[in-house]
Amino acid sequence: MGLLTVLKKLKQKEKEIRLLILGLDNAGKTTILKRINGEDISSISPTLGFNIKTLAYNGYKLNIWDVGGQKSIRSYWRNYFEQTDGLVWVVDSADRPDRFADCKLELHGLLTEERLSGASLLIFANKQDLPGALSSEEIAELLDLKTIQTHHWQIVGCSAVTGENLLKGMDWVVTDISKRIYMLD
Amino acid sequence: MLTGKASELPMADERGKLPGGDSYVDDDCGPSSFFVQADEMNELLGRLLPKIELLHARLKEYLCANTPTPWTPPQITNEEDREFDKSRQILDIYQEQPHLLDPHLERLVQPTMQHLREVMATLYENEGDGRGALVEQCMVTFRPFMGFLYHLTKVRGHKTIIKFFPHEVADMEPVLFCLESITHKANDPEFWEGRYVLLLWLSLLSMIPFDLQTVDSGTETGGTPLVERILNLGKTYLYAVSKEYEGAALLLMRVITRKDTAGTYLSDFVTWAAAEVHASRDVFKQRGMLLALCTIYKGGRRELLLPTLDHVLPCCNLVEEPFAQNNALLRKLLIKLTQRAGLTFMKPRAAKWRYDRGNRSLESNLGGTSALAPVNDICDTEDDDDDIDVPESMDTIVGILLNGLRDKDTIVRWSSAKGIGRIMNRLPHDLGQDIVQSIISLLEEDVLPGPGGQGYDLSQVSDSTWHGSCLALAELARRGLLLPLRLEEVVPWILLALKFDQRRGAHSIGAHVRDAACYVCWSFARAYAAEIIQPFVDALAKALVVVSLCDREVNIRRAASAAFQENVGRQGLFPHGIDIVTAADYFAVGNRTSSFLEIAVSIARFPEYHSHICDHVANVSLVHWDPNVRELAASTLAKLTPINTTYMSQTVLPALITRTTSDELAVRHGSLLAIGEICLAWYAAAIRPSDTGKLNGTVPWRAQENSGIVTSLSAVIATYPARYLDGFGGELTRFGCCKLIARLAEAQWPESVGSEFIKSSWKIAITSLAAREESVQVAAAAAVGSLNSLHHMDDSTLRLLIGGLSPEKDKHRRRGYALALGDLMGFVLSTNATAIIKGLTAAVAVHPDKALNDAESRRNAVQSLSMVCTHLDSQLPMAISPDMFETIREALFNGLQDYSTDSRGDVGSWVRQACMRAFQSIVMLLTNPALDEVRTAYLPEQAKVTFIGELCKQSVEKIDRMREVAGQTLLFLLWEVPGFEFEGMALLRERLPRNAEMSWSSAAESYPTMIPLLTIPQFRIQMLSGLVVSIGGLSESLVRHSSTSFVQFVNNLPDMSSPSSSDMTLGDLFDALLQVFRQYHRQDRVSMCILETLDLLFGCGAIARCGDAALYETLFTLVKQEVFKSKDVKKLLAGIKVFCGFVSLSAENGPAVAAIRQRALSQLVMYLAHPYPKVRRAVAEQLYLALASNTEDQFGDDDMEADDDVVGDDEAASAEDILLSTDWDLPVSQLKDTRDRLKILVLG
Ligand SMILES: Nc1nc2c(ncn2[C@@H]2O[C@H](COP(=O)(O)OP(=O)(O)O)[C@@H](O)[C@H]2O)c(=O)[nH]1
Ligand SMILES: [Mg+2]
Repeated sequence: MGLLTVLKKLKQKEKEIRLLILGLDNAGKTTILKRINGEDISSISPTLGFNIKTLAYNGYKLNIWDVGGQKSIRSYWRNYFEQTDGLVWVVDSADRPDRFADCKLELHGLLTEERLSGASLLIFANKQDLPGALSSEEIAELLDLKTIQTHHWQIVGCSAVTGENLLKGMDWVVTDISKRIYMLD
Repeated sequence: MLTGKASELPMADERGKLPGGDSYVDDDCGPSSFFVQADEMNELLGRLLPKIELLHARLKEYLCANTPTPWTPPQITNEEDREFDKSRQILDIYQEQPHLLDPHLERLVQPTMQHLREVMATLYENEGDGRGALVEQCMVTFRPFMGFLYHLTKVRGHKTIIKFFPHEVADMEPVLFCLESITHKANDPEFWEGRYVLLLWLSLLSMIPFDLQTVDSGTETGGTPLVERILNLGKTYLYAVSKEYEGAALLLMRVITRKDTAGTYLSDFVTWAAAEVHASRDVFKQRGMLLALCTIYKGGRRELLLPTLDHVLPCCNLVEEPFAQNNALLRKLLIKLTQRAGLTFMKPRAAKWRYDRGNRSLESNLGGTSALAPVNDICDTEDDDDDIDVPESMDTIVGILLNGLRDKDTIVRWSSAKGIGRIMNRLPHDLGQDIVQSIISLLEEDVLPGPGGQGYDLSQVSDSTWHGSCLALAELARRGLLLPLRLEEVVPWILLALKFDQRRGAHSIGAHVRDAACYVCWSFARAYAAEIIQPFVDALAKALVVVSLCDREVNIRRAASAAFQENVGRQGLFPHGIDIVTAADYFAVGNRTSSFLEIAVSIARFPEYHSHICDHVANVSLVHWDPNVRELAASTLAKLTPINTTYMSQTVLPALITRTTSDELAVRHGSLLAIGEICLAWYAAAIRPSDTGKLNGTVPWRAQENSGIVTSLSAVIATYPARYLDGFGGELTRFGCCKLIARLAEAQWPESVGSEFIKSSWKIAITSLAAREESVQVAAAAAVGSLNSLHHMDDSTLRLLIGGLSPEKDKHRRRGYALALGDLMGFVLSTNATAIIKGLTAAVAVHPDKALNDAESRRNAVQSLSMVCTHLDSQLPMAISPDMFETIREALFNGLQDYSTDSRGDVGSWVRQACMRAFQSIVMLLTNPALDEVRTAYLPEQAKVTFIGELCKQSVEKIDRMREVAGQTLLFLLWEVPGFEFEGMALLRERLPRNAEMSWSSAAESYPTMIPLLTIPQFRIQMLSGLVVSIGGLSESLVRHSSTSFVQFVNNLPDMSSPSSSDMTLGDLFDALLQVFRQYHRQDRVSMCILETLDLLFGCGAIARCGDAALYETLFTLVKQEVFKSKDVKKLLAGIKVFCGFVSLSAENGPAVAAIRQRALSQLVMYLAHPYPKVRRAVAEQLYLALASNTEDQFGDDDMEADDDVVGDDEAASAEDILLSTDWDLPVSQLKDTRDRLKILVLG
């Protein structure tokens, strides 16, 4: 194996990004995934287990893992942590108020995980199309995002149904990841 | 909803690629840039998958039947097998660029998996006693599909492929059940791909986010828990000889690092596996265990694994054990495990102390592209270094890894280097610095002071250690762990490593070290900010440039070029970076000659690089072990000279002169070559007309300041000891001397310095003519030529050369002398032309005594004859009379008939080729207007036609290369020589248009074009004599193409010409053929082929069509004479076929034909008693066929009168019987009676 081989491998590796989509159940994770993959979103049932999608994006190859968010499953999330470059946290902005505490707790719990320590964090404040939806600023406040210092983060208000701002969020997370050239492996 | 398809995000926008090293890995370097066979592959799968549907249908039918009826799973047909082969071949095309498959993977994997899982579900639903056997039966059908899936994992990697596998909870138990059902045959080599694929699948299923207990339908019934069943499978397959162990390792990791299982199983498993590694000496077992441990430590949670480390650490030390020392793979796994253990000890973090360049990607350097920035900057709340707890074991771990850098196997060194890089990121500053220090010490090991206390002597260091150390430094630099402070210490070593080259006997090693050094430079570019790298830019840039252009190995040139490009792209500091990257890119440096001669020379015009390139070429390339590199270096120095003659003449040249007396052959050889090149280039630069058009005029040798160089250089040749010239490597030294002499002579070397130079030069040049190496002879001849122009050859030498051509002289001498005579010019040539030509023409003749024949001498003599003419130029008529010139033409014509062969094959072809070329140059010479008056006298019309005919002949002969030379010469003479005309030219031009794009060497192309030239009467005989040799040749495709075209041509020939036209007729062809036959009578090379050609002409009916009894008569006689008393079986067999051809002629054509037919029959019957059984067998068979077809004709034609036929029906039938039923291998004595009986039957 010589330098030319290393470069070839590295080039392929640098072009592959692994994203993990998490969030409470019913937040819209699967809908977002299907939406950005250009699939039909009219009949999505709750995720039993997990989904993996591979898609090309701006010259990168994204491997996106979407895991169910029911309470009973959450403790299995860490099955999926390895080599995660970016974490996409999806919030139902029109959720019942009592669920935001849960949401905050789960998110901050994840951020202490060693194996997610290098990952960029994108928060999708989803379902902005719904009348009662909180703004992304309000969500940031509720989730206490400003205290996050361990990860690069960004919050984007979006709607999986209209597609609004999904691209903006994806753009940010991919760009942020691609800027990292040191590998924390 | 399982998995998704890879698709372009519908809303995606275009963004520029990251710069740096792009072309080195670009997709378009390979065979294609996308998956070309996607549709083909889909169709293939579409045809194959119904097989599984069929299996499923039959299976269900069987399961539903009330009474058990035997069933058979559908078998894979041969045709389907071939389709599977095809699918694998298609995938293999993408082995180098497998990512091109990515957009299609979903379609390649999912339908197959879907089909498989449906059958498996059915199998599982009907689980029960003995149902495992059903699984086994189904596997027969599954096998090639699993093989296909395996092949995908092989080409694209299992991690990527696995993502397209189904992973619903409901799949878990069926897959597990199926794998279990075939596990009692775990060693059956038939099905390992299937087992591997099922293990991978199971490993993915083991990721489901549900408690496995709830999935397990067996818990209530008290069976083995699901987890344990998986564990057992995993353990079993860890021992597998084939790839299953890799799948098993992955499966085990997945199943015991789960939240619901880790507590119970993880620690136990690790303990058990570690113990197995220790206890076992079974390589397969150890391999499996180690891989499982590596995988678990990579994938599992650190907190859970930390307590188990005590068990695995002792394993790491096993790397020193003898069993591991003999097995690179085990050592690699042990190193990996060591690395993982180290990483488990330490919390993941990016070392706080590492060098952080800040804006790390060029994209952001260039102003960023994202509308959004992260809200925050990462603020490290990590502990300070002081708080980092480093366990004592870390010393051992680092020690093992450092030692791994010196391993004898590359894969182990790579693993160690990566391990060190990863671990150091988690270590505190001081420990990190210690490691860097250790790596530098590895480089220093066994380094000796250089000669005279200057620099270093690396001859004793270990190349492995240097390779490993460089890799480690590269890995550290990439991660920012090689602090800027260290660069001053490290860079000098890297500069040495970039040129690392250790002599080992006749060659050298070190390319891997140079490659790793390029990796370091590449990493520097990525890691450091410009101001950090600034102090080293100069040295690094120079070193990388010379390595990228002047390394012998193409992959090293490319690696250096990649590193250079990365530096230019990321740092922008390298002088003239963009220009160099453009000139010396991946593709450009692929060609060594142009890298040296073109690119290196052009870059040397930049003053920053000039002296470094000159010095490298003069000091490294010129003493390289590979003589080709030395020659290239010498030529490069010539081209470098005019850029700065002062540097070359005052700095480089004096050093080279002292090297001419080195005891090292390579050094001597290189310096001799280079000195001559430099001096000539220097001279040329000095006398070159200046811009004002005036000659600069100062010949350097006259200048006072160069007198030292002139004196010492004049003495080199004169003082050369005999052992240099005649001892080991003498030929190479002579080659160098001759090159030097030639160049100095061309550079008008002053004679005045003393006759010594001239005298010694003549002596070496003349004696070197007799060298055994052709390249030395050529160089010596050139030296003779140049010397002669400087200082006329004396008479005795000339007589020596001419006399040395005679056949009884040593063949090497003859070759060399012949060459040298062609290089003479000027006075000596014009006054001795006749003598020289006489000598050379005599040397072209083939000597009757084979032992004295030497094809190379003849070839050289031909070349020299044409050179003599060319050199005489307009003086030709003064120097040579037309009669003398005729002897040259004769010699060339005779040379064209040279078909001598020896153990090397048709060596005469060299002579023929030289003759064709010579004829072309003579034609060219005579276009000189000064020769207008004498042209016809020197090249009469008939001579032209004869030579053109010879070219036509050579253009249809059997050697591809000859056809090519002949064809090109023909085209050239037809179209490119103004004023050259001959009879038949217009017809030739019609057939061979100007710019005829023809691949002469391809038989398929050339024969169809050339054979119709037979219609041109002037060249017919000659062409035919060439053509028959191809038709009767041995090489299958040649025979096929030439005969097909010939038959086609013959079939289109009219029987007789209409009075109004002069078109060629069949009769004309046979006239020509008879002439050729007579000309080559009993010359087997051609005559044997004529027999084959006759057979062909009988076969296509051309001979029958001609119907000319007189021709038959002549032909028959010629054939009979040809084979008369021949002992050559091949020839006899060819003759028999022709006789049978005569038998096939219809007696209807009159009594004359019937008589010939009769004679042929009698000839054949005679052969039935031939001493060779092979001949008897052949003739019996051929005769049978001939008779049988005659009888058939009769039955086919009712009107035919039986009496007219020579043999009656009954006789024919019994004759055929006898021919068939007799054993012709019996001794001739026992066959005589049979033969006689046949004679009566057949001949009446
Ligand atoms: N109005 C609205 N509904 C959404 C949006 N995103 C998802 N949903 C709905 O929310 C429900 C849960 O979505 P799903 O993707 O299954 O959530 P998951 O459990 O996080 O994967 C579905 O009924 C979706 O149609 C959104 O942006 N706007
Ligand atoms: Mg979902």
